[in-house]
Amino acid sequence: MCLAIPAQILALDEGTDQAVVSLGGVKKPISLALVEDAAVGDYVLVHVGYALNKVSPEEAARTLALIQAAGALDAAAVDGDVPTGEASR
Amino acid sequence: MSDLAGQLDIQLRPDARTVARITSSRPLSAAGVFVGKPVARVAGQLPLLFSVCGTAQAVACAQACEAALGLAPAPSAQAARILLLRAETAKEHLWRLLLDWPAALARLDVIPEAVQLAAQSAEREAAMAAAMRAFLQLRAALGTGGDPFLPGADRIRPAADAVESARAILAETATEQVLGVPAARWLAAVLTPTDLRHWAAQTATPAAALVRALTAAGLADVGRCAIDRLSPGVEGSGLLRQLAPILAAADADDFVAAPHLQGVPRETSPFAREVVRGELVSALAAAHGNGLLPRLAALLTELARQTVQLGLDAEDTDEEVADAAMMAAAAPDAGVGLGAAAAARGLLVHRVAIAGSNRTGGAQVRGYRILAPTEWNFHPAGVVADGLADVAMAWAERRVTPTPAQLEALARLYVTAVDPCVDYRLSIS
Repeated sequence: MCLAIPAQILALDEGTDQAVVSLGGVKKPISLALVEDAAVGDYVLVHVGYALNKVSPEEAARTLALIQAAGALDAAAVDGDVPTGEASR
Repeated sequence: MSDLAGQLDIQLRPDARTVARITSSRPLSAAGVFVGKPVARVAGQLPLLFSVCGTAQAVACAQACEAALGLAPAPSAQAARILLLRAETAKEHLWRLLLDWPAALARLDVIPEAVQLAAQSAEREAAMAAAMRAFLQLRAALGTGGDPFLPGADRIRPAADAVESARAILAETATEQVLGVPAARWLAAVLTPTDLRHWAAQTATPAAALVRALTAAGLADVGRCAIDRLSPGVEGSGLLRQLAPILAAADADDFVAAPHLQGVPRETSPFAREVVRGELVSALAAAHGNGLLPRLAALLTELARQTVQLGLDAEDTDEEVADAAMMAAAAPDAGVGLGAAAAARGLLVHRVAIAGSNRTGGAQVRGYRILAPTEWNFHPAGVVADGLADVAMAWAERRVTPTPAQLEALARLYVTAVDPCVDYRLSIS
């Protein structure tokens, strides 16, 4: 299904709208062209190379916990980094 | 960890008997995570997990849960669902037309206008960013007076001003970046392949440039193949009743990974919807089958159609036929519900089995399964596998000396045209 994964922005280049995010523990370059006012430390939903929108750390934690639980069902090796904040489930 | 979202692996071997081999690492049993949870919580969590087409997912979920529980949403909640589903399709089609298609056509490197278009991406990205914000604003506005996607949702009171301004931005983006004229006028004026050619010649939008480039490069037929479609005629409860026992069977996991009807793979896509709905795409299909130009035209036509519908007030949606094509539900057994939504990329079907009382608060999910358009279209013997065989043939027959890089670019353009929604790896040997 069309999963969009929350990822934390580690670094960004405002001139080019490019950023580096941590996606499940892996650093990945993405484009911030579609979101406004994203800053280092923010969480964004990432889909095929673009940040779709910002999400709160709490929503990122909830979503990642859900994705990890779902991933475990598919026996995928998941070692993502859950952000700090309560993962209420 | 490779990628939690999974990916498709497409191997292209132009000289082999099976030209395209498609395998998938998409997490198809992810929906199993909802087993044992209360219905209301599942309805809230599901769009978080599947957020790209979150509205279609939320609609299919609500429809399935309501069918299983014998609930009905308030008319205002139902209207909000349809409105946001239309907006999501418009937003996704804008993304394809403004970002994906221009980049994919430019990679071919045979059409100067397409290369030029791709180089000017900043304006299109800004327009897409505005459309994304408008969609999120619409979603927030529709949710301010209660969650319309909760199974059996009560009457909602969305913030009218915010809804209006979001709709206006989406319509404006469609007009300025794609259609060149208001959507209703485009639909009335572009009915034949000749109309489309005239429109493309006279319009200064990026989408018109795409039509010109595709035609000029002789790519209109590329990817053409004979594959049955899931027609809108079966998108309603007829298909759901057919799918109900299959999705309940012990081997349902295998089915959702490679779905078929009576052993035959089917296509479900904007093209499959428009070819039976609209004059333009059916006329183009008569000449070009399900090749690239009819696929591009289907995106344009659906974008125009949804934009027109977005402009209608919720109370004016007396077009029951149009609404019935957006969603459907069936309750094959007690406590079991199937829900379907016309997602941007094709038909999305959910099946839920519920135990407990008929109030959403006390009911618990005991089985959840999702059948997504990507699995129909990227079936190992489905439309993309067959279409890529035609791509390889078209590449081999090109008069210019074909290069492997051109084959890769053509294959990527075709995959973009069917749109897998996830990352894919393409290898050529």
